Amino acid sequence: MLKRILQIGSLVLLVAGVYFYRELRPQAHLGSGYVAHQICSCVFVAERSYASCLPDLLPSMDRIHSELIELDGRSGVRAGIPLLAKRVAWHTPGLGCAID
Amino acid sequence: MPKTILHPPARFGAIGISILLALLSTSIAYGVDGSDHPVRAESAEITQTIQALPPSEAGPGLVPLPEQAGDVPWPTEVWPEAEPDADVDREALALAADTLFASIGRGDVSDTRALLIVQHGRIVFERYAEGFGRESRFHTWSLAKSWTHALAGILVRRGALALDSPVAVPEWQSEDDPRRDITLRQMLNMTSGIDNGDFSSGNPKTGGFVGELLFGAGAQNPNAYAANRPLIHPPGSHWAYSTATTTLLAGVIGRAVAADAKGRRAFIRAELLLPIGAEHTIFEFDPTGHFLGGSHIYATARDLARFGLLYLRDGLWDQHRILPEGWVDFARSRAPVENNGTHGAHFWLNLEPKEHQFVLMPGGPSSVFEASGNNGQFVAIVPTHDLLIVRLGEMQSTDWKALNMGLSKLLEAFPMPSTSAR
Repeated sequence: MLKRILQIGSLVLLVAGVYFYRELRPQAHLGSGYVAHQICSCVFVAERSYASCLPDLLPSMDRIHSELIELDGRSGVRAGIPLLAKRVAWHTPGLGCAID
Repeated sequence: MPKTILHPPARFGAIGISILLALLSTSIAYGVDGSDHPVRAESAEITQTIQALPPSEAGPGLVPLPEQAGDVPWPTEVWPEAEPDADVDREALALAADTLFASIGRGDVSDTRALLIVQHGRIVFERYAEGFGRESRFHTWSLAKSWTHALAGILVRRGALALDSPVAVPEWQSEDDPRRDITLRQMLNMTSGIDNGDFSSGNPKTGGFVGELLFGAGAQNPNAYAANRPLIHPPGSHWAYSTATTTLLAGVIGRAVAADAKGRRAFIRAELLLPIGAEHTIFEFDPTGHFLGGSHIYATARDLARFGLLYLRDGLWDQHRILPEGWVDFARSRAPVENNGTHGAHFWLNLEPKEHQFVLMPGGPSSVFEASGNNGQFVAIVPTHDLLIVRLGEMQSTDWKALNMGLSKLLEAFPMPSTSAR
C-alpha cells in the first residue's frame, strides 16, 4: 500500500513539476532578460553604481540573481533563476547593452 | 579566459520566485520597448524621390511654432540660462516642483530625478534628485519613439523615405503579402493594422508582445520577431500603440543608412545628435545591429531639452533645416482614425482621449504635444508659451495621473499669453 502511495505521489510531483516548469520558464526567461539588460544599461550606459540600479527594477525583480561579469575584455551582466533561466546582456561602448 | 564575477550580490532569494514571476506577468506592460537584411542603401544610392508632405489633418488650425529669438544663442554647445519671465508665479512654480520631487520611491530616492524647464530658448528651471545631475543619462523608454520619428524625418528630407510610400520591411515583400502596402505614415501614426499592439497582443503572462519583444523570445532579433505578425485591420483604419512598429521602423531606417551598427550609430550622431549638441545621448542596439528605437535610448535632461527645442522650432536649428517642412506639424496632428484621440505621429497630443488613452495635461492648451515614455519620462512642448518641460525618473510611488496633474501645475505658473490661441 505504501509503495502504491509513493508511486502515485511521485507521479503527481512529476506532473506538477513539468507543469510548473513549462509555465514558469518563459516568465523566468523574460524576467532574467529584463534584469540583465536593465542592470547592464544602468551600470555601463547611465554609469550608475550597481547598488543604485537595483531599486529601479520592477517590484521583486531585484530578487532575480544578477552579477556584473567580464569576458575577454567585454563587460556585461548575467541574471537568472537556477534551473529555469540564465541570460546575459553585454555592453558595447557607444552601442549600449544587448541581450545575448 | 573564465568569466570574472566583479560584483556578486547576495540578492537571490528562491522564496518568492512565483510571486515575482506573477508580478512580472503584469508589470512589464507599458511602453517598454533578423538575421540582418543585407539591403544597404547609401545616401547617394537612394532612388526614392522626395515627396512634399500633404497638409496634415489639423494643418491650418495648428498653433504656430515660435521662432528662436535673435538674441538667444542656440544650445548646440552651451545652454543659455535665465530667470523665468517676470510674470511667472515663482512660488507656484517652486510648489509644483516640490510636489513632483516629494514622491519617494524604492531606495529612498525621489521618483522625479530631473526636472528642467526651458522658456524662450533658455533654461529657467533645473533641478535634480540627490545622486543625479546634468551629466546623468536617463532611460527614455518609449520617449525613444519620438527620436525615431526625427530620424525618419531626416530620411524623408534626404529623399530616402517617403511618407506615403510602403516601408521596406524585408519579411513583407512577397507579392501576396498584404503588409507590403503599409506606408511610413501609417507606421508613424500607429495605424499599421498589424497585430502587434503593446497591450493588445502577445501573452500577458510574459509581459505582452512588448515584453517578449524586448526581453523575452524576441530580444535577440527584435526586427524579425516584430515582422512576424499578421495584419488584422486594413492599414490606416485602426490605432494600436506598438513598440514593435517603431522597432520595425528603426530597422527600415537602419538598413537605409548603413550596413552595421557602427555605421548606423555614425549616421544618427552626424545627422541628429551632433547638429543639436545632444552628444551625451546613446542609442542602444540589438544583437543584429539595429537601434532599439522604440524604447532604449539613454539621454541627459539637457539633451532631451535640445530634442524638444528642435520640435518647438519646427525642425530648424540655427538656420539649418534638420527635419523637413511640415514634419513637426505631422507629429502634432491627430492620427485620423476612429479609435484614436491623443496620438499624432510618434508624439502624444493634449486632446480628448479615446479608450486606453489618457489626458496629457488636464486643463492645459490643446496645442501641447509630448514625447513620453514608461515611468513618466516626458518632454512636453508648449507652443503657446514657447516652453518645454522635461521630467525624468521613476514612477514607483506616483502614477501618470499625478504626474500629469503635476505637469499642469507647473504650467499654471506660466501665464497664458493674452494673444495666444490654445
